Amino acid sequence: MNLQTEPVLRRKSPADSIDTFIKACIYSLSLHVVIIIAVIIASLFKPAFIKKPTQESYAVHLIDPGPLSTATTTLVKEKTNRKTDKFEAPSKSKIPSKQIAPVESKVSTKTADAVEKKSVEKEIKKEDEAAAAQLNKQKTGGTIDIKKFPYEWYLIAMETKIYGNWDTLMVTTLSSSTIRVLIYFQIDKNGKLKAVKVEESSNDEFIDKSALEAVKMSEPFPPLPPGYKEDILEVHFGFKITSRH
Amino acid sequence: MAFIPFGGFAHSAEVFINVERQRGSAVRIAILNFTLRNTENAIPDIEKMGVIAERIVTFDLNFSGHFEIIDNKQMIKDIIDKEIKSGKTDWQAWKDLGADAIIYGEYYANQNKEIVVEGRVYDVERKEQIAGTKYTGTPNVFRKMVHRFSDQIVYLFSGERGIAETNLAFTTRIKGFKELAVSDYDGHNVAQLTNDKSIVLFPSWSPSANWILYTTYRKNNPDLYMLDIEKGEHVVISKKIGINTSATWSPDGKKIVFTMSTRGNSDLFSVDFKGKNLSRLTSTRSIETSPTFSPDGKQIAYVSDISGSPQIYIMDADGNKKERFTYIGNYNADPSWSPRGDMIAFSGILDNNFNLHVRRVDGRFEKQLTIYQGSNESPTWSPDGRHIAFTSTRNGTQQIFICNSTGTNQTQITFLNGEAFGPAWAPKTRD
Repeated sequence: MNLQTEPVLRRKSPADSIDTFIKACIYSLSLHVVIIIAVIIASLFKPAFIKKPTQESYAVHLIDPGPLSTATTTLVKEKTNRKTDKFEAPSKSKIPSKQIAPVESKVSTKTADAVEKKSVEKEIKKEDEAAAAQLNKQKTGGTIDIKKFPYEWYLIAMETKIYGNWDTLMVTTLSSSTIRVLIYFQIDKNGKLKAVKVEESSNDEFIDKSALEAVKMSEPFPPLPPGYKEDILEVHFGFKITSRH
Repeated sequence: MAFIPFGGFAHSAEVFINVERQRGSAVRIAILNFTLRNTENAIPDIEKMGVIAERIVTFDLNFSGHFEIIDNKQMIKDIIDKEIKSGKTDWQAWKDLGADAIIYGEYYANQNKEIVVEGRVYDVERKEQIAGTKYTGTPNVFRKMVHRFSDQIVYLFSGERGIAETNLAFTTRIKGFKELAVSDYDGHNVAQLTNDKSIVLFPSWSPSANWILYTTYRKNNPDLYMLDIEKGEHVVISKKIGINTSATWSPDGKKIVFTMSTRGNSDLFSVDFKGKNLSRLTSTRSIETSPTFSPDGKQIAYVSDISGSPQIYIMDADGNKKERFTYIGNYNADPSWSPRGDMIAFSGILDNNFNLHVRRVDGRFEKQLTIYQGSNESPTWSPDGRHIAFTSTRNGTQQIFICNSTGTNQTQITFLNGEAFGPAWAPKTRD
């Protein structure tokens, strides 16, 4: 015979809960009394910290909104799966203890360079003739070769910046039909413009110049994505002007 | 192959951006509430800081103009709720929401009662972290830490230094007096800088953002003083009888140009930062005031009523080659030269009210930024040249507003009982 035993909780009787209720009332009442007395005593002394700060109570000298010596900045390693649970146990092992000096000008560049990445881009071999021809085809077809540069956010950020800097005040009124310009440029790791030139002219000096200026004015570009291991990015950037006539 | 890389770079990728490609929007980002990781070390109100951090980052990034913020909070919450249930990140849901990137942070208090914020940026397309930074600081610099995270995100996506950590100086009314005050660029952390019990006006930051020039009636005459912010010391620059006012620094920090009156007539003068080596830049019978340097230090824009009404003029920094800049309207004042060099912001009277304008230095473009919204004056540029702070009376009293240089995103940032006016945007983050 297979006998199982398990504990059964005692049922609460109504008398129990009434007893608990009365106890709770007494505790609550005594607690309130204590708090009220405490507040009365506190208000008699009027300590400075209870006083509500008013605009007039500022010190004459600058209350520094942030001494930087008290704020430090450290890089954190990649964590692809965000922890969405609240009150998650601290994952101390994931946080490097090393801290970099809070030198502001260096913070951002160091971050960009130093964040560790798990997925390392495959080494890109030198393009052979066939690949080059393929790229050329894509250029005229207007598609984007994102296999070697799979960072859509970067391209959007770059485009937004260039188009935002494109001064179309002059060109839109002058052009008579759809005109294209292709600008070639290179961006280095830190977002610096390394080389820039008109690759395919619109045969309109003003328009070529405006497109060239848009690219130049957009420097600095965002630093190249940390996961991108090459030194530079080559961009063939097309501008189009369609006449309103 | 159409191109041989310049300079012999061995490795690079090529991208071809098609003309039709432009999506018409900036990088779209979803900003999540920051999560309290643990409650081991209690700090008062630490639970509320996650929402505050999310608000700060949202304000900063939205105002930066580099992003399109996904503001559908309910959708974001739904995705997070699902993620909590399943225990993993639902990248497809974020992609469907239109997010290019996710901004997320965790925070907690450490044993030293400091707050630690870990901010992360994720690439939705590639399902990976783009950047992650840990900030540690005392609770009173919590806002600053989050602002710094915002600026790092701005740098990541634009290559430019953000402005979230910068400060504004302005005049505010305290106990019936007008005193100098400073705040964060978003209007938080207001602190009083002078206690003259008088009238303090026209703050102007040094290029290093360590000193502020201002005019005070402390000794019943409008004298020019300089405040050393770190030491709290106030130094006299000029206290000639008559006016000594509306000063500005040259971009190299070596010269101060200001308005001084001689025999009752105001002209522009320059001195070094010790108040020595006075030299005269204008000598007319009209009033010359409100100087502002071009960022290369070669030119000065200022106001003169030599034509019969106040108009803006541009001259060389040594006082030569004066040329009129504004012609429209019969009252144009408060010029402020953009740090990028291409624009001058100013205020002009229209329908008895001041309105803000920006005008290209080459005159090819002008835009009025405010209309029918009270009086709008005293524009000042953010260090990145993308934003303008100004005084507006649109909500009753004079308060400080900020907006983009195109006039969009006009946001009130001070809500002081006394008025706040005449802002000066610090040219850099104070270190």
